[in-house]
Amino acid sequence: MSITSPSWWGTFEFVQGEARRWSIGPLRMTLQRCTNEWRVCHERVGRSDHAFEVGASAPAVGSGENVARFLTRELANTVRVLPALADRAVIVRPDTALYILPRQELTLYLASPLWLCLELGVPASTVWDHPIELPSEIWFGRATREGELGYASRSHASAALHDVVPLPHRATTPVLLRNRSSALLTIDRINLPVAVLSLYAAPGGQLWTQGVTMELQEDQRTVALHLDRHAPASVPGLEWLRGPRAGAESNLLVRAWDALISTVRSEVI
Amino acid sequence: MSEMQQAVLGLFTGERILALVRAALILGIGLVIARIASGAVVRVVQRYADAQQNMVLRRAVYYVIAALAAFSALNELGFQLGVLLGAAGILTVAIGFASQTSASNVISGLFLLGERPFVVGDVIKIGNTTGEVLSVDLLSVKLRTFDNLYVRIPNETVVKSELANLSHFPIRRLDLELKLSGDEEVADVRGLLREIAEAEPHCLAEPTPAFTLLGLAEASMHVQFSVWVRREHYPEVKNALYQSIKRAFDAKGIRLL
Repeated sequence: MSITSPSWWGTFEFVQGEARRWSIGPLRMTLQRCTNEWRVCHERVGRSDHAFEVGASAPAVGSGENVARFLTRELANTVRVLPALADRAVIVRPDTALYILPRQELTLYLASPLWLCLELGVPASTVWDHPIELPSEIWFGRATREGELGYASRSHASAALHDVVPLPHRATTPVLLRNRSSALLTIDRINLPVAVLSLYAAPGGQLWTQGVTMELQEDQRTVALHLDRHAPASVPGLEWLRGPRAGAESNLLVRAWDALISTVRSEVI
Repeated sequence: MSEMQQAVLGLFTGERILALVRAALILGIGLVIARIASGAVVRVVQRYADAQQNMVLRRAVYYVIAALAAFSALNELGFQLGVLLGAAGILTVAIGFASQTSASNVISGLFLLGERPFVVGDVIKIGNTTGEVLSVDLLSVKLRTFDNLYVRIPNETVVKSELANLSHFPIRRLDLELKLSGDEEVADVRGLLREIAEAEPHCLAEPTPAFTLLGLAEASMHVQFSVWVRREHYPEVKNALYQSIKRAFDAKGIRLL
């Protein structure tokens, strides 16, 4: 894996006792190399969407609730800091409701939150895996009996590539929505299966996933979900960063439309 | 030597002693095989079955093999099994009349196993008792309450009672009822409660929290604020939300009655 810059991920070398800090979005993570252990401390501060700090010198990590200690006899002083997509589906809610006309298609660019992972040891194993911004959990499904738990995410849902505002703690997914039916397709939330997507890095440090196509069939009840095999062609210079958290059974999945695009009404009795 | 002594000594001939030893061996080996076989069967099917099915299967295999071993041992001792079964039939009728409740519990237990309103590990509420299901046995269901008491509920009671399974669905609605002074602005209270729910990480963003005005009185209003949470977070979120509400209301000067 080659490291693109500017970016907050990569392989970092420490000296004994050294502590360094990463500030990305609302997350501040401090990592320290001690004798026979690594210490990680994290906290969430006020939002700072665009700026980030990578590997700056920091005070030693003390003790407390947000401190984790990883004990190892290994002498290696390197750590890999990596981004990762969410471990569950992300339910993206566009700021305003969207409508796709019959027999029309459109590509939306949706942002989803990223996790920060630390890999230590030989062979490398993931020892720390935390969301950069703490996402709200959401239930997505036709009713409260059937559905799935995911993370809620708000997105501008840009329809043009040049409108996409990249953030260091979010990845962008091009979603092609194709309406094959004869009815107007209303979209107020989209279930994005990010756990089966790969992560790519652009030369400018922006993070992307492969594209996803959601095709509403003529019966207006099923949606064919197709995952692209490669990085989006519309973004030049993308390099593969890491694979999906979970394997998809195939690149073509057929789901009920309300498993991908839906709303749950809360009953109050 | 009296006739009785001779009769008793006559029972312990070499042949009978050998038969007794053979019967004991058959029974002993049979019980060992029953234990090994029941464990082996469960190890094979455990990835396909849940804890309750494993338990039922283990006991079924054990008792069937143990029963066969017992019958073989009795046969070795010279008992006529046909006569035994006949006597057992009459005895069963007599015992049945005397133990109707136990029979009802057994039948209810079979219905519970078939209908499966809950499984081992679920948290259920029957009457005033809430607890985790430890086992569904022949006569009763065993629960462990949250204050670590062991509760035995007859199967007949379980079948006849209204039962709530708190573990069946992955999410639950948490209703918080508040009684406020009638002077408070409903919109302000609603807005504040929504902010509190948004700040609580375990409150689900959807289904969206709901605010309901349950009633108005001369100097008070009764509201219900409902949020959805994952079932495992229910007690923690209930506690956290009440504390947050108390803090926020005190800060804003909103009076709770």
